[in-house]
Amino acid sequence: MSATSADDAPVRPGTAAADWLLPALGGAIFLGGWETLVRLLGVPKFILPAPSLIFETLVKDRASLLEALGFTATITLSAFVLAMLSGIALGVALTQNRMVERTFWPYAVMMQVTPVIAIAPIIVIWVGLDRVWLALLILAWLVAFFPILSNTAAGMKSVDHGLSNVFDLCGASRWKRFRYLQLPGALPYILAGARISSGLSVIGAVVAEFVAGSGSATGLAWVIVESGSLLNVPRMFAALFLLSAFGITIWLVMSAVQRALLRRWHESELAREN
Amino acid sequence: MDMHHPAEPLLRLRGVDKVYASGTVALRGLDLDIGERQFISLLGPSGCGKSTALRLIAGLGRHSGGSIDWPGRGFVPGDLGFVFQEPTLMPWASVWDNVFLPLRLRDRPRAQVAAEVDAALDLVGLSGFAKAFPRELSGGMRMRVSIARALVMKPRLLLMDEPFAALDEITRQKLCDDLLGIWRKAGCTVVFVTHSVYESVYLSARIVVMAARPGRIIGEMAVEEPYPRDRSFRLSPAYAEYCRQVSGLLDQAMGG
Repeated sequence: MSATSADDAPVRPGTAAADWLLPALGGAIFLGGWETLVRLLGVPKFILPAPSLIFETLVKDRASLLEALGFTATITLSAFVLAMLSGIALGVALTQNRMVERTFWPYAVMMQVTPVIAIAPIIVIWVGLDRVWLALLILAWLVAFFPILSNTAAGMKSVDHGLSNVFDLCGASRWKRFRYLQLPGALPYILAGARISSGLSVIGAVVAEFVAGSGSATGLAWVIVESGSLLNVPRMFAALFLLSAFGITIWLVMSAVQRALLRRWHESELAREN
Repeated sequence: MDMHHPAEPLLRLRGVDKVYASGTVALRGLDLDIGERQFISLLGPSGCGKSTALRLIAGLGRHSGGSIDWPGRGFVPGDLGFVFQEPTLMPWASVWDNVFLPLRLRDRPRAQVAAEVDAALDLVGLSGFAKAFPRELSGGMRMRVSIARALVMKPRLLLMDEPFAALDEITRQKLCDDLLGIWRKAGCTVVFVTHSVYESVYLSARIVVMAARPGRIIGEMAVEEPYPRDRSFRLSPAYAEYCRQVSGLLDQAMGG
């Protein structure tokens, strides 16, 4: 009798290193080319600053930039956590009763398809200009919420029919069916939704700040708007760089969580080993 | 092991009908007595209602007419184990947790039943794989886990719905040998649904042959070869003769 193990699966040597090295090399060539062209052609810094100048600005303005990053990160992460909690809870609730699903699903879709830019002004009016942060939170949550809701609902409905029969035979209660069958079965779907939402919550927070932000909301998007109006393009790029770095970090964390939870059993994570 | 029909069967089906909402008659007038500790195969072509009969016995569907009774001491939850065509394991749980599932769903504390789970794994020869995940096992091993899960409650009746159909011939033969050993140790009744004449003759003391449209029993045959059976039975003239006779019945079932 023999067993195969995920740990025994052949991994091509150097694959993991290549995953990091190749993009780093590509990035270095791109930045080098950018720096050279800007210097050779004498492009003004208010059109396209050299990477070295952007880095210099990043270091020089680090205090205000990091403060802005902290604000955007707080809105993004809060919206993401809210989207996770509400998306999973509503996704589960919608699939427990066909009538509830039929009643609320169209409204969930409506929330998804209505552009956040279109509803930002009304949200700002509702929460008040003195609480713009709350408007940003609501708008970022609206953007991040739907992928988790729809993926949770899809996962809850994708229960293996044979396994469901096993639970029927054992006379499993609704709670036990949820706890031991539906929820773990839906986990890959929920995590996939969470990964999409993690990126969307950054986009949601930034777009919301562009639309609804004012002097009281001092996130990175506002730094970009403000720097643009002052033609401080190096600072715009520095803020943009921080935004990208933050988005990538969230994506990597979510990917790591997904890998840790699904590594031993789900095809989506097994594929990377084979 | 008693191969004769006992006075009071474990399970009694009388005039069982199954008609779907579409009007399709899946079963018509099924009469069947299943004795304690028997190994019975239901054999027949696709669509003859073998699996439907099994699902009705398990309570996974409602019969449209007739009766399904447990004479004697009646049905007690846990009296019934079911092995499906696919292993139907939880891919996110270890082998041990998969086998533990029926006990967990009946609120039996993990620590209290650990010995029972270990015993079920031992019975199917998977003691060393308790911590493995289903994907780390071969197809045959997954099916053993499924059998262990069905046996962990020590059921009186084990229903098996073409459990080896998706496996290769070598694995099937090995699992047939193992299943007979498991059955003898577990001391339960087995109702085994199969398409295979060879499998049914090798495993069963009694073969019930069914025909389709509507699903019904058209004949049955006793295989009076003593247990334990091994590969020498497969190679014997008696085995070939039983297979010939059952094939004849199957031809009738298919209108030949």
